Amino acid sequence: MENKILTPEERLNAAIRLAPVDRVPCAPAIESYAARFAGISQYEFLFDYRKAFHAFAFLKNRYPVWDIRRSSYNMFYGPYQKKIGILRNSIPGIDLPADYEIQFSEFEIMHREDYFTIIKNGYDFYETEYFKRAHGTTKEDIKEAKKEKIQIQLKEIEASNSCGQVYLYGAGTTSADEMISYTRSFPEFIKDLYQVPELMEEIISIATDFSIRECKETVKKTSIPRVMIGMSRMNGRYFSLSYFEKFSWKHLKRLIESLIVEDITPFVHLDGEWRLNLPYFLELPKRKIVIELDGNTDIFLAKKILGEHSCLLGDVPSTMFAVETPDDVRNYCSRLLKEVGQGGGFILGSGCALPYQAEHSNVEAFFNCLSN
Amino acid sequence: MKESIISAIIDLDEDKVIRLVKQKLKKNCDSLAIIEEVRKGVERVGELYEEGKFYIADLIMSGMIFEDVLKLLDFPKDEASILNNIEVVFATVEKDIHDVGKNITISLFRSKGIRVTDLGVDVPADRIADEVEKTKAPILCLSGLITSSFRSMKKTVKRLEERQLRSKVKVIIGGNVNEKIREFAGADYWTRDCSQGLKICEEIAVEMQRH
Repeated sequence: MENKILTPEERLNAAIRLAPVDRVPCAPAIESYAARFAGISQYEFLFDYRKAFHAFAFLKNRYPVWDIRRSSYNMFYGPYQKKIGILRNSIPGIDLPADYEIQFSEFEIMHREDYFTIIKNGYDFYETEYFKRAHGTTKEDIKEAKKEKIQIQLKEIEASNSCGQVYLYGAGTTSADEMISYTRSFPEFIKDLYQVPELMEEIISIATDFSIRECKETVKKTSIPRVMIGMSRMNGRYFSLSYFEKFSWKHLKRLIESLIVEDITPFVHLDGEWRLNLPYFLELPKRKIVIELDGNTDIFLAKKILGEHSCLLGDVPSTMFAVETPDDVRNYCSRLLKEVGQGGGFILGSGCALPYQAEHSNVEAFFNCLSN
Repeated sequence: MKESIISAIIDLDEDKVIRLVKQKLKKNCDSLAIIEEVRKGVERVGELYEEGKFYIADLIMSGMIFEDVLKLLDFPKDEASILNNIEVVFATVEKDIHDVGKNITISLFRSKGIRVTDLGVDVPADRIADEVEKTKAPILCLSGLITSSFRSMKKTVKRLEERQLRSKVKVIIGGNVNEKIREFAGADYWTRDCSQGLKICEEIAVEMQRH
């Protein structure tokens, strides 16, 4: 194995299976930084996919070791943000100066009585209502935007392949509890959990069915058997484990297992501090999922808990890229490679997105730790 | 057993709290006395959090109940807050428009009697310095989630220095921050959660009283 150079896809699959690799795969989540590196505005990046793909290619050319395109560009593509954007948003060049980052605001857009719409008409109907209210759009526009989103993703898959990269996520979702919390706003969602728990269990279960269906359909269209599942709210700092079990884990586990039986690998992206929740992932089949951490959960502890069970991805923090030194980045990456990479099952990445304001020298130090 | 507002708050049972408050109002009880009772309940929730028995969501819920009681009593938020002598200016810094964490924290601060001037989001350094100067608040909370906010935090602290305000105010940064960001921005404290932010404010207040 040591002498054989793996393709990016082989390397990725080996890491997922905790098998030996020729080197640790490299999957920073890069979006806005690529635009800055290429010298184009955030507006241009978000509204002109050709320029965006060129920016990615330019960065890949500079850092050939970057072998996994862990991109969510299709989620943030400008032309449909005011139609199917996950939250109400402020767009550079439209609502903000052209060089600001795209940003999201959370409001109570859906109300508790709207939950009965989910029970009566299904989550699809609720989602359409949400987009209509959040963005003032129409059902027809939403339908068109969803089609365009897939087209953008397919184009990016092709673009990343022609750069020699493997494209990571065939589909993306958030856990059902989180999906609902965005539509209600986090404070109102908390109230709902406390005040109408039975209703919430039912709603989250229906939303999970929707999520499973959507993920499978999208994976069919992209032919990439990997799904990113984002989570940031139901962790052990915010909620007791009994709340996590009831409103999150039970449903998340069903989502994950439904994907695994279809040979789809879930990448569970955990933003925030999830230390107390990590042991739950041991209930899932070995070598079938990847856990992504963002620098807030101790990845070295995660290695001890999950290291023989699941692949870990992470976790150079965005703050480190932004304000620390190349030496700090080098030292941290070396420790990651040595300790978390020990025995395989590790993909080096940024914690969450490699930030727009990252110091170029820090980005260089990050990539160079693999080249060296 | 007699139902109390305090235990209803500890149970995080908003319906019950509202029902009990309404009963008190019918009996012409003083609004300030009711608010004090609610605040005691919120304080107990805070203690249970400190003891590891409650979670951040419980703190957030108790803060929301407090705000709903104020609404029911038609009591201005700031007047409820002057019961305590801590005053804070709060802003999400320039280039950042995120406000979920800020709003949750403000709600919790107010429930503990801290008077908060909320400047909103994407607030330029000068506007923040103006408010610190005007209110003479001894604490400034700067919030930011995206990395662009770190430079804005630094710029704000620098503006306070230029205007000879820095020594008069303690600066707490919150959001996606850590010790390195605190150093970078030149702030005094950093926190990633609302309960820790509250604790810092209370410690600053105690320290101020000593001097």
